[in-house]
Order: sequence, then structure tokens, then C-alpha cells
Amino acid sequence: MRRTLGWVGRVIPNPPLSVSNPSDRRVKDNAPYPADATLLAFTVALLWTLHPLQTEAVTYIIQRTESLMGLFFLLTFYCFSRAASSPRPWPWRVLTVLACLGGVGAKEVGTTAPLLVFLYDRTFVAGTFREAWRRRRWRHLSLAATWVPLALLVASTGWNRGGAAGFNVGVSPSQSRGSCVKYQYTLDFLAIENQESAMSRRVRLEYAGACYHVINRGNYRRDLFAGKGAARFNRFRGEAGRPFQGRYRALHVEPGEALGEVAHYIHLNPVRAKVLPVERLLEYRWSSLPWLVRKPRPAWLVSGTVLAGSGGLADTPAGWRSYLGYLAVRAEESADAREAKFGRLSQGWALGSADFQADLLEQLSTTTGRETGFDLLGADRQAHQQVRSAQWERALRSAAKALGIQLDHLPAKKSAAEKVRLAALMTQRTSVCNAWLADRLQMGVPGAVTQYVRRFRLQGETQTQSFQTALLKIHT
Amino acid sequence: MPASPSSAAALSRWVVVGCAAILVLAALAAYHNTFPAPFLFDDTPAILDNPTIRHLGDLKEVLLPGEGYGITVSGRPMLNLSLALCYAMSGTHVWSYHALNLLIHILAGLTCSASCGEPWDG
Repeated sequence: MRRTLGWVGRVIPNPPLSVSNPSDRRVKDNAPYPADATLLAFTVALLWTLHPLQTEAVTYIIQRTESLMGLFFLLTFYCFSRAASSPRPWPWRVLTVLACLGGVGAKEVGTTAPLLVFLYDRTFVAGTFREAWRRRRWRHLSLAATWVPLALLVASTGWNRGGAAGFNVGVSPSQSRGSCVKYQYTLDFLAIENQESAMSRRVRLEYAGACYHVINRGNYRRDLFAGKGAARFNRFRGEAGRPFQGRYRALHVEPGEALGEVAHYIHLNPVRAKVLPVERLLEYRWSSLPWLVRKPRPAWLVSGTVLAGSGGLADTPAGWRSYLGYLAVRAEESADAREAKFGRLSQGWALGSADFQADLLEQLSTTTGRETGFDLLGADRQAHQQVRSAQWERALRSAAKALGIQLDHLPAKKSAAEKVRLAALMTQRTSVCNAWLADRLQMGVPGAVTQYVRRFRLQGETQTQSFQTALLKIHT
Repeated sequence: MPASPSSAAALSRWVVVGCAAILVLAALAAYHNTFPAPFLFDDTPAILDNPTIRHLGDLKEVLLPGEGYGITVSGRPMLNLSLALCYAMSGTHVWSYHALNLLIHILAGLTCSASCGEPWDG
């Protein structure tokens, strides 16, 4: 409720201000307008802004969820009162609802705003609930309507706020001081001024013989390769600098079928970009294709993969003619069909079989830092999930070892003591989600995991010597 | 005590501007040394491991992050949108995240102050 301190400032100076409607309760003892209302308002706001209790919401980045909700909460009050006093109330009425929507979209406690606005109306303006309802029912109802999208949002998370909020939070009384503890940690971290944030260079997995599909893109997404050099391009745009946008991206490619597929894809780039029709592909100088066809070809250019990937063609003029025919067929193929077979060749991060990806993920989750590792994966949600699963799996094995539990011989019972101990350890030391634990340990629905772990904590099991020792031993 | 209505109005306008300026400066002074503070705790799943904030253009993804991508952001589209804005500004460098956090807090402080002076007339 820390944010509610904010509108205390509203409540104090307001009642005596300018309630002019004779039906209002406060009119009788309408005090003179206090000359220093602005200063009083400012003092309250300043006290609130600088109060140390806000430190967590401001400094601990993700706690922005609190302050963002608080901002919208205050805006709801502000717009509501402007709507009441303005000669043109409609824009303010719309803004009130938008602010309230913003609040519930930032954090679920925004749901209390319509109730508090109604209570405020009753207490300081209308005098009774009945009167507040009679005079402003539609405005109050429109605010309450923001509960519908909120319900949809919460439903979209499976009614499970990941243990962050809700009725089954799974926190023992000793842990409910969490906010204060985090606040304390925040200060500690500030004091040591960790240098990690200054280092964020992209790390790439590199090994002998690795294949990459390297992608770059021109500024403004313009085609750079249609005959204009960088200098001319810049002169044309009246700009200086690099024609390429940021750093290049490199996708790992498995030698063999996947590499052949990437080669076909690259050979067809000019066709997709509508630079040339497929029958004139050999005229495109910026591709390896014209060099593959002629003999002698450069020694570094290898033809085997391309030919094998298009059906085991021979390295002869006839074979290459067949290859061009093959490309013509592939050019007709829809993007959907290709994606269905090989995934998206310019997106994601690794192209190849499941084993190949698993192997890379293993390397990735052990050899690079967490931040850079995830950076490498780009926006591929599936790969992120795979890496996280791999990390959780490793943590789980480590946890099982630390607790002396045989992972392969877990009891079938969903609430088996071994399973609960493992789950409690994992939730305490890793960012594991309940859905993963429920699935991996066969503990039923994700919500059940929360329940078991909560009970485990309430029974004080997490405070036992053996559990604490295991906590220290586990590698995440 | 006021000298004349017009000069009192002009004076109060300056008082409002002055008060707002003091509030902004005080907040900046209080938090100026927090900008290098690193990502910690829930920041990791919600920002560093959260692929849904990486493309600001893909609004559907940004506003409906779904389950499992940083538990703190799921079902909170405004939060995820604000993170996507910061990611677009500074990637995984912390400065823009702290800057926006402070901006939100300052705006909340100003709104708080403004609400106090706002009269009702039913």
C-alpha cells in the first residue's frame, strides 16, 4: 500500500477547497481557501517522492511495475477530479478510464483504483454512497469496467502469477518481509557498484570447422547489393557512416543437409528480393552460384554439399543445369512449406537437427555468461526456453545430488517428499517456473507445486540443517 | 493578506513552477548515483531472459508476453511495453531502465502534487 501515501496529499487539502454544490455535505463548514494549499500539496508530494520506502520501486528495475501502476493510479484520481470540475469533461472522462486501464496493465493492484475513487467520492464529495452513485454512476461503472480486461490478462497467465501474487503465494511469514530484504540488497549492490553492466559484448560459440549463416542488413532496410557502393549510398543520402546496420548476425549451421538448404536459400536471395528472375540467376555476380558452375572454380569453394543437398547431382555441366532447374522449383515453393521443413533460415540461432542444437545448447549454457548467452539466441523464444530448460535440468541434477535423491527412481506420488524437497530447493535457488517443475517431476498441475512447496516451508523444513547445507552445495 | 487578485495569481503560478522544479531536482539529486546499479533478482528473467521485449515493432508480442517469459511481466502489458522501450534505447545496458524508472517516479510525484491543488465542484 505504499503508493496510497500519494493520495493522502490529495485528501488533506481538498475538502475545504471549493466544494460548491449545496447538496454536498462539506458545504456547511466550508473553510476559507487555504492560501498555502499549493505549498501543502507540494510538501506532501515532495515527502512522498523522497521517502526511502520508494527506493526499491525506483532503483530495482523490475519494480517499475509498482511505480508505473502508482503513476496511473494517481493519474486516475487527477483525471477524475478534472472531469468533475472542467467545463469540457469528456476528454477527462476518457482519460480517467485510460489511466485506470494503464494501471491494471502495469500491476494487478491497479484493480483497487475504481473502488478508492468511489470511496473518495462518497467521503469527500457526495457525502453518501447513494449520492455518489446517483450523480456519477456511469463514471464509476466505466472505471469498474477495467476489471474485465484485467481478468482477461490474469487469465492469460493461467491464473498463476508465477508465485508473484495471488492467493497461493507460498511465502511464509518470515519471508513476507521480502520487500524490505530486497530494498536492503539494492542498497548493498549500489555500494559495491558492480562493473558487470559495463560489459556486454556479444560472445559467439566458435570451434574449428563451424559453419555460420551470416546475415547483415542495410540501414533503412535498403538493398545494398544492387550496384551501389557504401560511399555512393551515403552521398545519395547525405549521410556519413556505415551502410550496414549494427553488427551482423551469425546463425550456426549444421554441416550436411541443413547447410545445403542454407546454400539454396542464399542462391535464391536475389529472386526473393526481385532483383533477378530465377532463369537469370547466373548473372548475379554477388553470389557463389556463377563460380560454382564454371571450372576451374576457386579452391576454397566446395560444391559437394550443394549438389548432395539437391538430390545427389553430378559435378558436371548437366548436373549444374539440373541444379538450376531444382532452384527454379524451390523458388516456386511457398515460404510456409520451407519453414515447415527447415524452420526460418534467417531467424532463430541454429539450423540443423535436434541433436546438433542440443549439442550447441549444452556448450552455450556452460561456456558463456548468462547475459551474452541469451543475447546470442536473439528473439527465438523456443531456443530461450530450451537453454533455460537445459540450465534448470543441470541445476536439478545438482540439487538431487546435494540432497542424496535418485532422480531416476522418484516415487510416483505427486506430493512425494523427495519431489517436494527438490522443488523447494529449485524455487529458492533458480528462476525455474512451476510449470517446468510440475512437468519434470510429475507433480500434477503447476499450482500444486506452489502448494506443496508452501506447506514444506510453513513446516519449517527449509530451515533444517540438511536443507540449508544442500542450498549451498547446488550449482546453478 | 494578498495584495491584489491578479498579482496573487501571477505569484501562485511562479510558486507552482518553482515547486515542480524543486521536486524534480530533489528526485534527481536523491537518485543520481543509482544509474549504474546492475540487473538483479527478478530483472534477469524479466529483462535479460525475456525475448518478448526485443522487437518494439512486434506489438502483439510486446503486449501479450504470455506465460513463462519472465514471471514478473506476464499479464502486465504496460510493464512489458516500457521494458521494450528501454531495450530499444540501450539493449542490455542498465542506464535507460534506471532513467525511465526515475522519470516514472518523478511524474508520479508531480501528479501527486497536481492532484492536491485540483478543486472539485461536483
